[in-house]
Amino acid sequence: MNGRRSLLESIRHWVDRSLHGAMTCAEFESALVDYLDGSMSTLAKRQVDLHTLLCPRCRRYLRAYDRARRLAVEALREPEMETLSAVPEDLVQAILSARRSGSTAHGS
Amino acid sequence: MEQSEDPGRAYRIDPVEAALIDRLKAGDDRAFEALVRRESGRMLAAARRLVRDEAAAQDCVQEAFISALKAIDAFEPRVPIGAWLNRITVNAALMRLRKARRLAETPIDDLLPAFDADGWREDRPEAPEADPFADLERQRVRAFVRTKIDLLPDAYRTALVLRDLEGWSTKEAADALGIAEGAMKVRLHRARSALKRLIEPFWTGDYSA
Repeated sequence: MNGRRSLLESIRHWVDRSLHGAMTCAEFESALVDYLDGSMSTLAKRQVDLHTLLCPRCRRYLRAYDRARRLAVEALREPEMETLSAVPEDLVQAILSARRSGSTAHGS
Repeated sequence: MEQSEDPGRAYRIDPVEAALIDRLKAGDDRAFEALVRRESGRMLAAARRLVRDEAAAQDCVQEAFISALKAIDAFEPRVPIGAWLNRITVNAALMRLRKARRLAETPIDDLLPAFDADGWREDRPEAPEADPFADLERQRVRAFVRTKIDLLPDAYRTALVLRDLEGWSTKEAADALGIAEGAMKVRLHRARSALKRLIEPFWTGDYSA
C-alpha cells in the first residue's frame, strides 16, 4: 500500500499531520458515525472536515459510505410501502382471535 | 419506554386518535380491529426487516398487539400509537433474534476498509462524483441493495435497521441489543462499511455482482 501512495499524497499526509495536528485515515474512519450523527465537538468536527479536505481517498470513501447509507434506507423502505397496501387477512384474523382467546400462539 | 420519534417537541394527539385510545382502553372490539387493520402492515414490514421470515414476522406482529393490549391502560400518548406499536414490534423481533442467538457478532473483516501500518487508507474504487443511478430504474437499484443488505450477518443488519431506518438513538439501540453505546457505534459503522463494499460493483453499473 505504501508503494502505491504517490509522493504528492505522502507529502500531503505529512503536511496534514505535521502542520494541522490532523488525523490519520484510520482515525477518520473511527469518527464517521459521530461525524454523520452531528454529535462531535466543534474541534473534532473540524479535524474530520480538514482530513476530508486534504485526503482524496477518504473524501471518496465518505461519499460512497454516505451514499450506501442513504441507498439502504431507500431500499428498505420500498417494501414497506408494498406491505401497507397488502396486509394478509389471515394475520388480521389471527390477531383478533388471539385477543379473544387471550392466546399469543400463532403459526409456530 | 424511551422514545426518539419526537426529539425537541411534544407530540400533540389529535382528537380522533385520542378517541381511538379511549375506546381501546374500554375494551372496544371494533376499535381494536380498526387499529389492527390500520397498523399491522407497517408493523409487519418492521418485523420482516429484522427476522427475514414471513411466519416469524407475523408472529412478532401478533405478539406486539397482545403486549400492547396488556399495556394499553398505562399508555400515555407521548408519541402516535402507531410509533408505539412499531417499537413494541421491533422489540419482539429483537427478542426472537436473541433467543435464536442470531445477534452474535461474526467476522466481516474482508468487507471492512484496510489501512497500512501508518493508518493511511488503502486505495479502492469509490462512488463517482455524480450519482450514476439518478436516471436508472430506482426499483432495480433498491432490489439490488436489498440483496446486499441481506448478506450482512444479523448483528450488523439489525444495527443498520435500528439506527438508519427506525431512527432509534445509539443509546436506545444499544440498550435493546444489550451492548454498550461504543460497541453499538462500532457495529453500526461496520455494517455501513460492509454494505458500502458489497454495493461497490454497483458504482460501475454492474447489477449482477
